[in-house]
Amino acid sequence: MTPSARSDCNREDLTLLYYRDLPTDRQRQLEEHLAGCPDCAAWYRQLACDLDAVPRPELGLGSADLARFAARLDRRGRRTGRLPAWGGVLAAGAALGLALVVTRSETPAPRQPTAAAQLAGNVEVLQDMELLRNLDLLQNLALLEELEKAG
Amino acid sequence: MHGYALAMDARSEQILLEQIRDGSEQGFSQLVAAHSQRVIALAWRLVGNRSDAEDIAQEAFLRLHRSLPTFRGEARIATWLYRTVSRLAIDHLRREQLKQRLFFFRSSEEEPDPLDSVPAPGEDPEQRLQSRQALGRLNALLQRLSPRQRVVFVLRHQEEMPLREIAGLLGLEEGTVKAHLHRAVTLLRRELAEHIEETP
Repeated sequence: MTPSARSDCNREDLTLLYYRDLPTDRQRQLEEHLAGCPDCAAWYRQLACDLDAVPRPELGLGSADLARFAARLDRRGRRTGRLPAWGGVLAAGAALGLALVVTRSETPAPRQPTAAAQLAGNVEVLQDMELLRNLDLLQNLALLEELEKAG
Repeated sequence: MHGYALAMDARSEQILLEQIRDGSEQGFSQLVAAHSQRVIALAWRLVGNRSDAEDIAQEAFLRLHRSLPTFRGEARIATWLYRTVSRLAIDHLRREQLKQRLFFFRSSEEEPDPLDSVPAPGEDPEQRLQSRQALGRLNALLQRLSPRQRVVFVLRHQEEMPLREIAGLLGLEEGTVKAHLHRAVTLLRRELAEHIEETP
């Protein structure tokens, strides 16, 4: 067995070999190794078969699609005096945060009559999944990460 | 830029940028016209959903518009747009994953995207159905990856961008990008194998 056939066959490098993203000398070394190692050659053939099967989809966009996109972009860019994305739902956002803390807590928070009525309304927000999906607040990545940490 | 046929040469781009800085809104429209197809297509490949892809593409162009007065031109517009779209896509994918974990939103990536439902002229309905199913399966597979793994994989596998360029785009070390790619490929192959086992 030649030295190159004995060389360490790094699976990560075989992935890079498939994508032709290796320095020339390392590529040659690996190809020599594969020529002398049936196990690695079989592994590489399966890798290539699997990756060849992953589609490379094309998105066909006609001139009408592009014109519509440009028009939307123009409208969005020209919009003035718009409230901040989260401005109109600050109250709902605070209620959402409160409801999340209360529902996830193991001991119920003490309730006042006025707070109970407010909480009942806030929990309805949680139950309205369509509203949740569309809350601009949920576009705030930092807030979502904080919510996840809060568990 | 590899894998992105440049929409205009460097000199034409410089002239257009100067016109835009001088206040030409038509100049910006020309930029959009030159790049929008590739930008939307990239965003679509990265996030798997046409509506979200167009939102991301729009955001990228709006940010470009805001940046143009101070755009130094060290990078081509195409590179700048690709970088911005890739990073916006990562943020979008992270948000979607978090929303699913926090609020148990069901993923819609396996469902056909309604915006893709318009058939191409002369397209065989059977072919179209198979394409949509393949796309749905692809999106379901890609959803198993972390946002960074997914973006690296799409940029390498579908956009055929060299790893060095991907690293520059995402502000990562090349070794990190290689690790993301290898991990993505390993996970995808595992999911593919399980899918084949489960399919009668």
